[in-house]
Amino acid sequence: MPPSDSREHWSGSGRLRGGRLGIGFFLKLIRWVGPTVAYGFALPPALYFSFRSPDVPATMEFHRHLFGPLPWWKRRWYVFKHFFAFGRAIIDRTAILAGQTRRFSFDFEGEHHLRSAAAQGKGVLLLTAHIGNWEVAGQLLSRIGLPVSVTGFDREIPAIRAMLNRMQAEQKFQLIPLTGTPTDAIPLVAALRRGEVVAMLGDRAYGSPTAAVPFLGGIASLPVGAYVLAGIANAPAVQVFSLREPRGHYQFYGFPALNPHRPPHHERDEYLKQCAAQFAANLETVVKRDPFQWYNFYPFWDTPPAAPVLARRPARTSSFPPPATRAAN
Amino acid sequence: MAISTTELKQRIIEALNLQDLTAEQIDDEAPLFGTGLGLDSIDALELVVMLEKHYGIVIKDIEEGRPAFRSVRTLADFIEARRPAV
Repeated sequence: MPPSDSREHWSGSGRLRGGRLGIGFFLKLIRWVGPTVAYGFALPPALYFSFRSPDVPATMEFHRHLFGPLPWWKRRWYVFKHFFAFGRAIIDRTAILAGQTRRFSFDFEGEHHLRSAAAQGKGVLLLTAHIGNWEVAGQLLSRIGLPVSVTGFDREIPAIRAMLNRMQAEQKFQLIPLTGTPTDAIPLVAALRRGEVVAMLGDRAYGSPTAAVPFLGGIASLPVGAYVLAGIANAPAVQVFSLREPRGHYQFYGFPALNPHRPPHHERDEYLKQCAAQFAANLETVVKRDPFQWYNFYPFWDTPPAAPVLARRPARTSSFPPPATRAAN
Repeated sequence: MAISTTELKQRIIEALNLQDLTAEQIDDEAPLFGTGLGLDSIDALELVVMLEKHYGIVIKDIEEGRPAFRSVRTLADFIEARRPAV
């Protein structure tokens, strides 16, 4: 279940932003002494929210399902660590979108999947998730040389617009608001038909149609509307996820394009479920690399995993993509 | 010219890939969603795109389209009323 309307979500509202003056201060700080010092400013809010945020129970549940039962101090430590990672992501995003990329590095594994999809000239549906820092993908998308539209649900639009505004990044992206109703299809299909890149977050549905698929050992409902649109517009869909690595390095992972397909009506649901399952499987490989960069602070599974998915902390050096996928490449 | 419900049914079958159905099998008055044809929100999405593509009708708010999507007959009337003058 997505965050409810009634309470303001600290992560969505970006309470760490601190207005224009604060942003300017952060940008100077990052330019002069590097982002590490700026991260220090994320410590107090992360500590405060790791006790006071209404999202703490759901976050602890997430950790329990991943790592198994934890001692009380570790539960607290993991929540803090998770929230701090989120604060750090906001600081990075602020700096990068403001054009301050000198202290960061980027690498795009599987970029050829996006490039070959773009080369088809049919537009590209780019699917990503609330993990790492999808907003900084603009850095890499500009290399593809196609206009990019970013989609967001109505309730997220003011925050996204404000963010783009502050970063003077509006010229980098078009913004397409979504309502979660069928009428959303029109501007999205139109942008794809113009041959543009349309970026969507494939891990939150906000009332749009979903399919229940295996995810991290449990069952989760993921949106499927995107695959219908890709079929209508005859555009390939490419999944790209990002993770922050040590020393300000952003690693992007692109997966093989899903070619548009319009199955007969009676096979449609099964087909859409397969699409969502493939998305979930790819996303899972990325989440497992660093679960603390997974920024869905609410009960995500319909059916949580029966047993802890990651008995130990994942090794950061694990191979990517996993052997099976690599063979396919 | 009034829009033929047979033509509209063909377009619906095409848009939704209802391969095992013919226009004759769809009743003009039968509900499109829920009972009747049993369409769902994904079909609604496809119908919205079909209306735009074939009839140049853009439904801005789904509430506006809801009464139109009741049956083939109401949809034909809606298209008739909203179709840009040729």
